Amino acid sequence: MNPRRVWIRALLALYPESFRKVHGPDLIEMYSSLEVGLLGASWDLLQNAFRVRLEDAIDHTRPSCPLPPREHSTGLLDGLAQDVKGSLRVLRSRPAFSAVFVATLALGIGANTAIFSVVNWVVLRPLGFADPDDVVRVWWRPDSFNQRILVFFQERGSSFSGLSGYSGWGFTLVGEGEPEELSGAVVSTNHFSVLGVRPLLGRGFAPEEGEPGRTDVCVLSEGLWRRRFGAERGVLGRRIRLAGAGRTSCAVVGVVADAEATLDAFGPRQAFLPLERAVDLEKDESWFLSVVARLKPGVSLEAANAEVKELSRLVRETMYPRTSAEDILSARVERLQDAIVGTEVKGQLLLLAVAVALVLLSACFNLAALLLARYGERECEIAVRSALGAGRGRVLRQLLTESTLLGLAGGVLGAGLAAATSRSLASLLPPELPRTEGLAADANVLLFALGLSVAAAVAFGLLPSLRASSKSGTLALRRGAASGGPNGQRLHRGLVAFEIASCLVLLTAAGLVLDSFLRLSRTDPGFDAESALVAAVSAPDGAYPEAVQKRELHQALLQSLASIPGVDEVGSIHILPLDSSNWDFPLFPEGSVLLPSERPPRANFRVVSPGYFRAMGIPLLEGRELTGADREESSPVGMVNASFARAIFPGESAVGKQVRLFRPDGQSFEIVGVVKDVRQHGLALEPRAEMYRPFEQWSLGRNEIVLRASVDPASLAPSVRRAVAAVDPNLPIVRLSPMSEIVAGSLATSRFVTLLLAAFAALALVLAAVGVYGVASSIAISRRREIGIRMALGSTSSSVLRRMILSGMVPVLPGLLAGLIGSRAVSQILLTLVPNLRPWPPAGVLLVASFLSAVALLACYMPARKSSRVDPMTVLRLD
Amino acid sequence: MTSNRLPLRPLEFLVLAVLEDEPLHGYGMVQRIESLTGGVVRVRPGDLYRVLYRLEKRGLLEPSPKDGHDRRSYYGLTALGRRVLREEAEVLRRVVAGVGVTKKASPA
Repeated sequence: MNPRRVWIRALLALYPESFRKVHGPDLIEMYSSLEVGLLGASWDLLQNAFRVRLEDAIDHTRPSCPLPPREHSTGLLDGLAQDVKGSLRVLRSRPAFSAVFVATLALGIGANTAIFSVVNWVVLRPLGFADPDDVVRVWWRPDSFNQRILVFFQERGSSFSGLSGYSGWGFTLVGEGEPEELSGAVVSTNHFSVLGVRPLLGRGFAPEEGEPGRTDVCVLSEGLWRRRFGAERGVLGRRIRLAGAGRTSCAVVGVVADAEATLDAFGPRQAFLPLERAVDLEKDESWFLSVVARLKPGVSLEAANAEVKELSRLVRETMYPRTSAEDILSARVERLQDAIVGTEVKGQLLLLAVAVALVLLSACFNLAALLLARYGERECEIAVRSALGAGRGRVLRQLLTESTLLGLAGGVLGAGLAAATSRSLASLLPPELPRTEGLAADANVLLFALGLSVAAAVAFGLLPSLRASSKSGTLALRRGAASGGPNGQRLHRGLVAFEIASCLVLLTAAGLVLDSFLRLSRTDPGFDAESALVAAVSAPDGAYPEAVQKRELHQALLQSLASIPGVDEVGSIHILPLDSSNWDFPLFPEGSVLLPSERPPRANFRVVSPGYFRAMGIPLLEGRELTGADREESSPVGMVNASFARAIFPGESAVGKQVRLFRPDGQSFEIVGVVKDVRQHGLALEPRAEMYRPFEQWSLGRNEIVLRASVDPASLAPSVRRAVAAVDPNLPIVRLSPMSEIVAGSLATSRFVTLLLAAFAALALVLAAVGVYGVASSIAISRRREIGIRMALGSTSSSVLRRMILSGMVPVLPGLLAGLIGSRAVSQILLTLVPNLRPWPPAGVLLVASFLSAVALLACYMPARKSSRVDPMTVLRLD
Repeated sequence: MTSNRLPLRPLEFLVLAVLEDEPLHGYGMVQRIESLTGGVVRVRPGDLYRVLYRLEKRGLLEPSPKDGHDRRSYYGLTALGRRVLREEAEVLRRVVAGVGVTKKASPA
């Protein structure tokens, strides 16, 4: 036999049998007849044998591989339409995958959109005035302009086109059916023109309506007009009774839109009355005005600030020499919008927004891991696309189109979810949160949801798509299992490490805020809220015009309420603890000498009935309580709290001392007793110095009556109504609630922030656990064969278990470390946002970290145990 | 289905092209390809049979009944192979029409 033929036949042995059988003889024949060198023939056969086997191998690994549609790479739009069509087909072919994916995303985007809709409405939505950026609040001391300074500013201020003074005022609408407490304001007559308000109906105030005796007119808000006056135009000129306004009745002259009835954080005012002009400005003591103004066009905040400081310096020089340097420094202007939504509210909303964004990011990373696995399964399709000449960019575009479609589907569903739940969200919002009325989603919110879904699509789609579309990625996909080979697992682990880190940060933040909330709710307010009921009764002005009548009414009410069975103590105060309003007066203690430049100390001022301290459970520390014997005609007396005694009379007893109010020669009273401090301005805030005067010596029309009962206070409501009606059936009860509810209400913002943060942290925990589980199970799958061999070679299942858990926990440690650093930083930020927060407690954070590790361990344990339990032979046979 | 087979590799196209008129055996194909391309393409037998093997697996050509006592195998186009060839030729025609050299060479 020809040695050349033998050699060629031997080389043919390298080909697969199926090839050799068909083509072997022909090849031998050809190489025998052709003039080709033996070396060249050998090389030809050798490399082709290799190539045939390679091509066979590729075909064999995916025998039923569906061939992708042919690519017409024409215009961009054609390409896009084609991408979208292709993507839709791919997504429809995996309905369960797509549904889980979209639902996860919808939850994440929905939560983000809901939080954003609050931020948008409260913080970003412009005020209802024309050119709202020019409307500013003028600060000098908080709330303490008087008319003399206001007029001075109006005359000299060149930065402003107008300034208006106002004071929030509570009225009670009476004589129109059920009495209703209104949040109103007394405003300068130029108020509406300064703010550029065009009344919907009628007019604003005329200048002469500020003159004494002519102020019996009012402007209503649209909301009140619609609700109580049936939106009738005939309301103009009608006289209505507003108890508490100091006028027997007022003629309605105008109606303004709710959006233009906003002055400050207390929401739209429902009724406006003109401020009565002080006849003698030099003697004006109306230190209760806040000031809003409109900047002249083109005047910057800085310029206005500088002028206001200069004006307040002039105030000291020409009018009030006692004005302190701090007062002058504190003078400034601030956009009304910023004044209404303070930095604390912004900070808290930002906190929630960041928290919910972290949740979405964690969700996106889990989805990215899901996509990694999914693209792993689609390895052959992607490989064929590349083989048929689809460039990397083309494949990438196709994959990104798919993830963007998923993102948009999630976004639409999420936005729908947010819109559907916006009403219930609004009811969850704490009442102290400003500007929440009418909360709704607008175009901004829709844009946000859209932008967010595209951003999310990039976040979860880009990395897996880049990997799947890269050449090396394709190879890795071919080699590896579901999660896409070693590179894919590295990426996957990185994502999970981030989830662990953000989960730890959120858990820490939620823990700190929860701790603050729990300590706040356990804080001793200084009074005993249990079994106390509060009834606020407001006497209509016209009905009880004289001080003596008010006193008698008050006396009668207290007696009538005290006779209710089950009521042990009855007392009253004109501003309850934890109420947002406050009276505080400058005072001049006996024997003290003030320098002319010094400001007198100030202290809260409250009018109480003798039984108040017993009814509220506030213990007497020194001296005596007020009694029924402290009457108008007896010598003026009062009580103070412990803070007052410490601050004003340090080192000596306050009992027996005289205190003058307002001026060095103002009216004085003698301190007869000292009571324990109560927290007047919130459980998180330290008590302030406070004075108490008996109502017999300081008559007021409105009082909050506190009843201490030996029965459930809520059950007393009907008897209270009857007892009040027995005194005067026309007396409106403007509030009737257990004191414990008022205490809980003061924590509403804290509770809201705590609840949401805790919910977000819990979500992040679930997501991180799912993430760790995903890594662990993809490792378990990709190392199935290795485990089988190990076990066949005698590894115990417990050693396999240990090994698997360890490799699943690989991303957890760096995640925890990053989370520790992050939580440290976050707790610094939280300190400025949340009252009463404890700084980052290492022990607590370590506890949270170990809890998180335990959850991660459990998430690793489940897939690891499964893979350590399998029969090695089953595993080996599988491959 | 034809579109899924495109584009063909150069040698695949040439093999289909020389089989368009009649079935051939391997040696015949090598000769026809050489004459068709003016001697530029000389196909090595290993490459040829690898491509035949692949094209047959894809259903583009099939063994053809041989005449008399010829021991060599003949191959002819399947209907699918013919369509693929036509489509690919159309694509190439368009490509060629767009190449600068041919445009310049053609009379103005």
